[in-house]
Amino acid sequence: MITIAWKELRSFLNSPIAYIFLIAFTGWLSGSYFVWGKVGQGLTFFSVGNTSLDVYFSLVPQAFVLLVPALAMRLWPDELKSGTVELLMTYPLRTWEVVCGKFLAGLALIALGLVFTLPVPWTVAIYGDLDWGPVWGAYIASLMLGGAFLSIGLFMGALCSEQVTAFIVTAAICLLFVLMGDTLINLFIPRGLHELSNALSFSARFNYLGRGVVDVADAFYFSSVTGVFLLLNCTVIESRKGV
Amino acid sequence: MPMIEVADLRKDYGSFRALDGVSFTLDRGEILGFLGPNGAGKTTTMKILTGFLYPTSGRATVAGHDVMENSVEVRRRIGYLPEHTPLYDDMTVSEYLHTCGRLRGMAGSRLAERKQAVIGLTALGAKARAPIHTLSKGYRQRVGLAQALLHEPEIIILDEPTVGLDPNQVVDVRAIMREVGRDRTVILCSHILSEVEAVCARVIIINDGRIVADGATADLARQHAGAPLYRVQVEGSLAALTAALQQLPGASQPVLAQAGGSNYCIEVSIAGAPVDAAAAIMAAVNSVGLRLVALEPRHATLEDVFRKLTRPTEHAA
Repeated sequence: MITIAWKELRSFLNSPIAYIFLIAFTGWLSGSYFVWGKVGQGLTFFSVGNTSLDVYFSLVPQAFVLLVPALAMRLWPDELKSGTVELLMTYPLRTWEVVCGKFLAGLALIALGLVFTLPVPWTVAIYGDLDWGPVWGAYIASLMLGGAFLSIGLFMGALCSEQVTAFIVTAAICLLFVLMGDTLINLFIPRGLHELSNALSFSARFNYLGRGVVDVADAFYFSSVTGVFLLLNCTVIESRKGV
Repeated sequence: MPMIEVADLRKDYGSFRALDGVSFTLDRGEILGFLGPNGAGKTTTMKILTGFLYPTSGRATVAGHDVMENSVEVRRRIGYLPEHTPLYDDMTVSEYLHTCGRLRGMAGSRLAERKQAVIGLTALGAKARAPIHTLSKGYRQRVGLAQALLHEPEIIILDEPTVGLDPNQVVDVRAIMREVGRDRTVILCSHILSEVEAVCARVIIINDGRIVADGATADLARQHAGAPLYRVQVEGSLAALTAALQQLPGASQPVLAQAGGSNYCIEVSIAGAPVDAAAAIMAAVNSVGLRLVALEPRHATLEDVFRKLTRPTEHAA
């Protein structure tokens, strides 16, 4: 599993996608926060006027909706197209080891992206009185959200075996999960479904976690979504063997 | 215990039956040529043996392990070069072999030693640091081969290992196959007959998902060739020669194989293979006053057998 993760990480670093991801992610967050303001709200570090980083971390889901699917989209389709999947699946590896290895490689890159954002809370901490509790909470929440998106993207790649299709479908699903539970969105769906929509929403849980309220239920929800999609991924790969 | 045991294997792709009851066993140390036209089911059989596909029905075991129930144990024992030689193009040869070894659970000095050994065997030394995407087809094939031999597998399965290689490279690859085949079980899938004749002691011919011949390479040609064929070359009249040969008991319709001036070459087979067939032909030629230039028995080749057994049948057309 670790060898698979290394192999994937290596091939990430050999391709531009890893660097695009890292630069776009940090650029998006810092650019929005300090320069042009959060999409739809125009809030920046300067207009918020306090040392809470709520607004900064609230940028993470929108950045992930676009960037994590881009990261995930090549993990399976590359192997399926070039036929190397035949090598991989005829090596003495279990399907879950391969799936988890690929997942870990993506997660490592997401974690690296988050590490690159650390200078922002540091800077804030220098100039003001920063409460680190919610900051760490937000990092954990970000990693879990990234993991959930990644597992969806990984699954879609295995299912569609086509990078562009996998990217679009994944981004759409991730966007849906983020928008669900939003007051504005709830206007467009039947009242009876509001409860469901709120329950499934990624954003609400992300915000709770991000405030430093580490609720077991929220953490469990993200892990379950991740787990379910990794499991589905194994099933899809297994089903390719046919019976 | 046979190394590979395949019993009544069937594989359907949707409504298409790719394998229709394939059975064979293979002992340790055998080099098997798995022959068949394109689409006959060679690759499907190999994919089932390597655990890449599951059979629709039937059973296959490798070293006593079932390919479905104990897939990982099976895959541990096999070195496989898939058709078209897929490789991780962004790695160098050395990195690639290292990764392959790690994925097989090899490490440390054993991995380093084996890597050196297969690089030496496949003469990849000069390219060890080259990225795989810069390699020519011949070198790619060698990398695939090196990968299949890395962990000293008991069984080596090579699917069309010499397709697209130039004649020199083909000779190199065959030499490697013979070298490793001395103490290992090897399955060589191919539709290149001369290759199988050169390397394999045993041949299985598959057509439309069924095995149509299985035996020692040398015997197979004899068994399936039918009546022995003679090439008769004479100086004189074609009509007279044809008439004379047709007089012989059990003679087939003579076929003109070559003609140059008054020099004719005719192929004829004598049913029942009498020991004195050659003498009878000679006598027949002499009796009509033709000058016999050459008379030679034409031994059936694997190619004859292959063509006879795999000609498209009604339902396939």
